[in-house]
Amino acid sequence: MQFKRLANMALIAASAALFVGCAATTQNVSVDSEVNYDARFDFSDKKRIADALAGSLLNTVDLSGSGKKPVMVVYPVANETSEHISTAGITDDIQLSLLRAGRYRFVSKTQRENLMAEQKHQQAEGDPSSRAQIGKQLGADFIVSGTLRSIEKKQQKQWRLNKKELVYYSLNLELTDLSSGEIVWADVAELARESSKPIIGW
Amino acid sequence: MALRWNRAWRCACLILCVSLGGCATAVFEEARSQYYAGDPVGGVALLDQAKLEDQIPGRDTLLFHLERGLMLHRAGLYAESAKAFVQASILIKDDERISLSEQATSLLSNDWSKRYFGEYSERLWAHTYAMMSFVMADEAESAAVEARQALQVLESYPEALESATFSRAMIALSFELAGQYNDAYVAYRRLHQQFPDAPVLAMATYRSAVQVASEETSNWRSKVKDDVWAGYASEGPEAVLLITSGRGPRKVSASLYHFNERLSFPAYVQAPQPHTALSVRDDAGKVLATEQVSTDTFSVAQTALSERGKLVLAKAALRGKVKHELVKGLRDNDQAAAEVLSLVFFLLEEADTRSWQSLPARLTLLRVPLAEGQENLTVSYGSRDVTLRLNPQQKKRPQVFSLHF
Repeated sequence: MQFKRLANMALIAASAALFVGCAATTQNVSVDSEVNYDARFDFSDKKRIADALAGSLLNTVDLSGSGKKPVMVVYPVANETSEHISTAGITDDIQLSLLRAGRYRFVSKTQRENLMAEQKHQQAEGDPSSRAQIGKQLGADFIVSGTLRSIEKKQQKQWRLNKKELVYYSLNLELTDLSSGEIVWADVAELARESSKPIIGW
Repeated sequence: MALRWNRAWRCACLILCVSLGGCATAVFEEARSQYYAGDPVGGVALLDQAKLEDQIPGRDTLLFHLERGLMLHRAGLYAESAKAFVQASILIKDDERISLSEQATSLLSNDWSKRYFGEYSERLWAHTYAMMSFVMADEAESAAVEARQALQVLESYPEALESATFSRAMIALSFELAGQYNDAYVAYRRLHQQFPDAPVLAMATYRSAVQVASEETSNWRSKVKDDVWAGYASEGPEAVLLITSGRGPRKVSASLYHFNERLSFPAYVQAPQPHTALSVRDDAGKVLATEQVSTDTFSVAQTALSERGKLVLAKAALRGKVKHELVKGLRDNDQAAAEVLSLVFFLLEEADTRSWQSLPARLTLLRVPLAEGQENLTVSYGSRDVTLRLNPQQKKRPQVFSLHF
């Protein structure tokens, strides 16, 4: 009888532990922390790459020769990886870092159509005294552009308990003088990561 | 004795319950019927409703995305279709994980209780359709991402997917449209090896060679026949037609019998349909192109399934052994219960015939050189004609159309 009671209690305790273990949880994670669930590109990679390249551009190039802040336009980073990665997040981060540094001015490529539409609207409907003037937009001096690439290696299919995957990412960024076509700065940020996942699960 | 019967029935009922989950396929059948009746949007609505009402079990989620993605593509809802195929690709990537619970259940019942990961051919076509949908949605860069994933599938199963040439053509086209000419050049060269007599492919290879400033550019120019060269206007505009036709293959259950036991395994059967000639004509009725790169889905699906065949048969044999031993063990204690269990096992021995059934019988890619000022193209498939209106302003990039007959 004593044994049966103990067995029942053990069963209840084990079940409770199992349910607690399976309970869904939510917690905030610092945006500066590095969290990688697998080898794939994630938010901490985006931040690391954007910081490295913006830092490199600010530290190695001085374009303030004429005394004016150069005007830049950022083009989308081409995604040449095998993942659907929104590269707009990378360009936004780089632009933000450069803007905060205060050494460059920016014109927006992504807002170009909206600007045109708004100006058109103002010309048609707006108060003449507050209309934005047409033909007064800043011209960019430099284009920021880049390409994100990846190389993946998977372990060959064979008898094993874990599946390993190695992914290498590189983001090449360059700054091109719009007048001369000269590439005045280029750099690359790289990262490589190996992950291992168990093949057998419940 | 009553107690033993009770146990046997409980055991039988449990196994039946697990297996009857396969009845969820009725939802797919209903949606496919709607699709075949020419109402892809209705098919999607049925699938979405079933998903909302939890009628689609988790193990069939891949099929849900595949069928839904294709129906959305056919309805012309390309961005939505691409999203569905991306979801399918995510599930396919999980294929190497072995679930002990699923394996154990499938040993007692059948493979219907396992998650469906798709045949190798279906995995490739998921990426192929994703490329088609992204291209049609004017998202060339995303199509190129899918092209890289499709290349990985082709590299993983080279023999099974040897004749999946339409997918290779889509890979090359996706890279070309995304302006990723290095990759396009490699893909076109590979495709040209398979179709050395397709003159328009030589032109595409030559063009990508020019873009990457390859040393072999003049060599590729010499492979472009003069009449093909002359067929292009000065700026070289062209149309690309992605044409699907007919109904794809279905899986059926085939069985091997040994006394009162049976082993079942899946096999593909072709839907009966004659091979119909395809041609493209200009306004004056001049034939501009006939079939160039085409894939027979039955042939590729059958080869891919045969490659997996040994594994399927080994699993069926193991399942037969497990069931045989269980019945044998029970027979020593309770003959009647053993007979019931044997009958249940016999009935449950059903091959997993889940497959992506809305696939077409044939996938064809045609590249058509366009003359100056050409406004229309007429595509003929058997007795059916479809007229496509061209955009005369679009000269630099190919104009892509997706059609189904």
